[in-house]
Amino acid sequence: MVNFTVDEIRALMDKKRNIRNMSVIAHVDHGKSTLTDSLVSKAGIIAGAKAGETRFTDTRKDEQERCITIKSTAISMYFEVEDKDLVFITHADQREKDCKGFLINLIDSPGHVDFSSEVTAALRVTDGALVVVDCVSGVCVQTETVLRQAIAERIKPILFMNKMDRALLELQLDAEELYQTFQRIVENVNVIIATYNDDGGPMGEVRVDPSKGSVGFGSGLHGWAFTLKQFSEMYSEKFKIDVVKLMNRLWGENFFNAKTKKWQKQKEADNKRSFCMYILDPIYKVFDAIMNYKKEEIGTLLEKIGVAIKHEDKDKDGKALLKVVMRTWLPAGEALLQMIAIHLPSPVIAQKYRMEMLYEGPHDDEAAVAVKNCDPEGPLMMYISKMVPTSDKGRFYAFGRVFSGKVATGQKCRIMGPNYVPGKKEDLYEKAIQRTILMMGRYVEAIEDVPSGNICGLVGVDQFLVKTGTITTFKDAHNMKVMKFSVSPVVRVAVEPKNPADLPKLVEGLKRLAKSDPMVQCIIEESGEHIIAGAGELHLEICLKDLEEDHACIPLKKSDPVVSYRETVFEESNQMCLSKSPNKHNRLMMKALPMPDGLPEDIDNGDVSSKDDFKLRARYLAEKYDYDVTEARKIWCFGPDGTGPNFVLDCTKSVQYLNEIKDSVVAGFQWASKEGIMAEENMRGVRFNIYDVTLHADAIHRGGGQIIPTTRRCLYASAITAGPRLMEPVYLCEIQCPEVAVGGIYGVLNRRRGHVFEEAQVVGTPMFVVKAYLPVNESFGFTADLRSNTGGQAFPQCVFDHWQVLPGDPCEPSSKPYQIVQDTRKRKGLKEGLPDLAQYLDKL
Amino acid sequence: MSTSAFYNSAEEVIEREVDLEKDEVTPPLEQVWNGTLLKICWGWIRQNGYKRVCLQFPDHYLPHSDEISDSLKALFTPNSGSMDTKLFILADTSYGSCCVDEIAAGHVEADSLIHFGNACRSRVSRLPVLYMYPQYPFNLKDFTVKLSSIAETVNGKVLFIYLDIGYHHLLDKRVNEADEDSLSYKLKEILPCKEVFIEAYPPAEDAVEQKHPSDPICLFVGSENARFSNLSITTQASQWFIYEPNKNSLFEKNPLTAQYIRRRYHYIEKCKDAQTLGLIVATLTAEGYLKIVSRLQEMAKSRGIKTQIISVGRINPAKLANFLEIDCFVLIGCPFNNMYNSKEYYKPIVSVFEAEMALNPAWHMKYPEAYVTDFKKLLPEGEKFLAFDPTIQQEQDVSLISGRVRGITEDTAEEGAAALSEQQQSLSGIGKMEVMTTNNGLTFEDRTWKGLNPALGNTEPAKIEKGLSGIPTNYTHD
Repeated sequence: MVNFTVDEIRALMDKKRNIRNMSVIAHVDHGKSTLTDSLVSKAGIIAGAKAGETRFTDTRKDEQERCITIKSTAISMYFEVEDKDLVFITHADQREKDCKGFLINLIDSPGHVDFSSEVTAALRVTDGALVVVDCVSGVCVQTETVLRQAIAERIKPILFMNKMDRALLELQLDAEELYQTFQRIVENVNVIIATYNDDGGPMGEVRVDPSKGSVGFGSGLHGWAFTLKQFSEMYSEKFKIDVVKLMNRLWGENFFNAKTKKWQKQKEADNKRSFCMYILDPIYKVFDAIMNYKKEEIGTLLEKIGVAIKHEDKDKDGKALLKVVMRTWLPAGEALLQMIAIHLPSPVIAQKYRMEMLYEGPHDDEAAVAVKNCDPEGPLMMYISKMVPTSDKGRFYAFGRVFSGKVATGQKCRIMGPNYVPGKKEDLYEKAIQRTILMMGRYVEAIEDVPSGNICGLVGVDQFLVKTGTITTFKDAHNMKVMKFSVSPVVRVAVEPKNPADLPKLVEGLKRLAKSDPMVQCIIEESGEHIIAGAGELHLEICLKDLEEDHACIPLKKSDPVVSYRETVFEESNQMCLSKSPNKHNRLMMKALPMPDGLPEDIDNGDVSSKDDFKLRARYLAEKYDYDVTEARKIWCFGPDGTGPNFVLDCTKSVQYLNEIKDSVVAGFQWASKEGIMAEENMRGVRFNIYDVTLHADAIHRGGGQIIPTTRRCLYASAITAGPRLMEPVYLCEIQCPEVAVGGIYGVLNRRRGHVFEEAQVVGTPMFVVKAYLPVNESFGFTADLRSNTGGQAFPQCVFDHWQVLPGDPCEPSSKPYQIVQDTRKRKGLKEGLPDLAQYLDKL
Repeated sequence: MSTSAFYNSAEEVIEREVDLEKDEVTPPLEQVWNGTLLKICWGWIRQNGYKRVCLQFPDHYLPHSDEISDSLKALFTPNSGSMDTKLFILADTSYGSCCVDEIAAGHVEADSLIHFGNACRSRVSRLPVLYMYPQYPFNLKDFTVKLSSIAETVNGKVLFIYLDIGYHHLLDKRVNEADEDSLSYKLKEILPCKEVFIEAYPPAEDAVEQKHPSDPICLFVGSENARFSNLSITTQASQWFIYEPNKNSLFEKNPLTAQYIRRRYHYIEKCKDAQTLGLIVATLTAEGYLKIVSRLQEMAKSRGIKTQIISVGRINPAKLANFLEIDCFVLIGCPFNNMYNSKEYYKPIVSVFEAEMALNPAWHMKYPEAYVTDFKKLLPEGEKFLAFDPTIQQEQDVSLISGRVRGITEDTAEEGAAALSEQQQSLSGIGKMEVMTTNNGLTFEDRTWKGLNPALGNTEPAKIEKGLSGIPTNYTHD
């Protein structure tokens, strides 16, 4: 029975200090969805007994079947916090006076690295994150990745140690060991936080601390959890110590001597760590009594902890009884709710420091100020972070967060896509919102309007946005910043319909797929291939399944996964390359040379970009890469697409009419850098120098028609003479496994051209972490291969890391790159063989 | 080598290599011209009493042009009553040698034209035209032997045989079917087909189009050339065979249609993405080209796409790259064009059919069973015509090239206007068609070079004054 109504939620939406927007993030299989169930059941949406099994936020059929979260799912819940707990919320902007009700908008996110774009989308619209860590396996790769992302987005974390039941029942750790494990995890998490967050920064100190109550412990599966606060409250009367003070005593190097009744700071023979004594011991006793069927003891214990067993649970024993007892004694929902309400920021607080990270425009304009103050009376600013499929095929709810103003049904808004530039009309639509809705996991509820600080869905905007966008009523508003994903779509498959006549359905399906996933790319290539590009094999598998079953609804033929390559050069052109225009009246002379290591990455990251001031950029290039300052000032353009990691540099000396042909050269360069000479893949890390230009005196004979094709030919000639090479994408692969399996990992990696660069034991566990670089092209089937070679003990997480030059000359017919070039050309329907330099190079 | 601003040195012009299309070899004279053809030409001219006759040759026929015209001229004797008939040789045609060059013929005020070699048979609106195809040797015996090898495949099915240019003379024997030499007679004898149809390709204008049964087996007599690819993508067939008479080889060819259309979808998407379409008029004779131009303009306008009409004669990459603002070109020309797949062009070129698929909402979610190269079929009388309804607003959709949203905005000002608060009403109203601009970096505003200090808006417009007249040595006002 749901214990709140939409009206109650709507009323709370106006109490912006009582709102908590939060995401649940963790490594895969650490129990996010299971833990979320505890809160969902506390809200009455699912029955308490089912919590932990339902995984209410895993709404898709395949999510339930595979027991893995694929899409992030939002749910809004209403809770009341008791008066005794309200006093812990000290900051004035963290609660409204005289209001016990709290609105928690929770987003459960997937843990698998292939879906981390979903996490990014979830983080953007929330202010706090519940980081779940499996206390048996500790802090894992993806824990670190998502935590880092959270900090970068200025999301405040709290920590939850999950799967305590496993630690007790399976590993049988003793109390002190368990404490050490907890302590280590807290430390690890704080190290990561400290690395990416500056304590003096706008967010202030965000480290987690059990003694403050920002770390929870428990078992999502069994539905119980606690923080030090719960236990402190139990004992505070007995000790006559204030709850807060006692919390400090219950963690860390605090020991209690039962004989002398004294607290001590060091471990001595007859004292005991307070955490073990007062918290773990009772829990251990309950576990021991119930799991070993000690009937009499159970009775006394239950009385002590004040749990009365309900009539229908009387017959249970063993695990079932344990669950009931623990759930009644330490209800997980309650502990979580308190952690969230007390330690996660309200939108009022969070938006103060998040505005500058979110808004692209000036930080003092109307929109910026309204966002900063979370002002419901200001102009509407809403960020759409993803599209959620509706039951109506092909239509989507636009899901996002209202940062300021109010969004209402029927309201007319400006819908700005990521390419919108203030003052221009591109990517801008003016439309009425058909409906605003509340996302409730599997259900949605219509709602009249939604004020600032809340998360909601919109109907009727989906056709104007592809994946993300900004919605506003302020005419001069700039965009909210585009999200930066930690993964890239490097794995591709080509699909075609089994029946050619289904092609239009496929095209339509691809368009829908492009919307439904925050990162997937759907492209029709010039070769006629319909490409789907995703982060990894699992991501693609899910996308293909969705495409086939939901979006296109036709049987498909799928190619094997392929990777896209990049074309680069490894030395300076061995000759000055000259190309003449079709009318023979214009001549261009150029050379190509590779960029220094690190520069392409700098361009990718935006550290060097076309938008920089040319003087600053030149100085940066001169300092970091030893470029000649005067030359570096004359970068004409980046490419492909005006931003890519290649550029044209003007090295000419006093050439007449040069500025007139710049646009044509730029156009030719964009063309050539997009379709490289070897296999028409993008170029990467190539610098082109223009040394001399001879132009016809008459403007009509040096127009675009003469210069664009000539530039392209000249660039190709320069690339051919500069030692062309291919680059392939490489994964950073982290594998966690027990020591015995490490040998197997090396074997598999060696066979797949991977190399290990770090191998370390996870402190305090028998687990090893192996870090390796693995070419994406060799990663297909890697997971399965690894499992079979390590008896299922190793589990890899692969994230795209960098581009790496493929050794070998693609012009050498026996080399591997040659084979790749030929395969790619064949796939693209190009003439096989190698490009002929004579076609591009002219004689004086 | 001296080159001045306005002309090339004579030496260079003479030495310059002219790019000839390699696959076109000059055929021997007897295949192009013989007594029978001469008689036909002569009869045609005399019967109709033409006075000024153009002979149009493709480039590789030019070596024979003189001889052909001489042999015709020799017949113009006073007693034949056509002493005053004049012959003109046309070469270097404006668009392609397959199209009748009416414009060039118009320069000499010709009243008729004889066209030699490869022809697209696009309907000509102004001049009477006689098509003279070459006659390549054909060994019927070899052919039948080869054909028997596919007897198994065609068993009980319908077989279509298309004769390429050069083999149309085989058709003439069809007239008397009982003739033992006749092709169809022979074929019926050796092949267990349900039916055999023999057609010339390209068909003559007055040819009755055979009703196509679904998915017949097709055989093309001729080499694998542009005409074959054109025929094969426009015809629905379950299997294709090619018989090359000069090599006496018969082989199977996979029908390209599905693959070809899949590939063209990329360009259709690009055409949908375009902000400005260039309509290249590469014919001034083919019937209906003006209708198709206005139809495309209308469709583009309803989607908020600007169009420009371009006529640049024979197109090449350099000419088209001068139009920097245009995102995609639509080529309106004869069906025998292979420009579409060239990688040399800066911006893609699509056919009229592809533009139609991109711009006409009626084609949305519709799969063309076969490709259409002849734009006449897309006009109201044509078989592939789909009515264009400008009132259908196409939904905004996602481009599968750039991954962006595209589409036009219709004004929804009416709905809920009353409910708008003052602040919301202050939002600038953006009219229809205004919202579309893409920054492809090449619109005029984005160019870094806009000509020599145009000082637009800073100078007073000059008043109209009476100018000078006369010649410089003696102006009238002096």
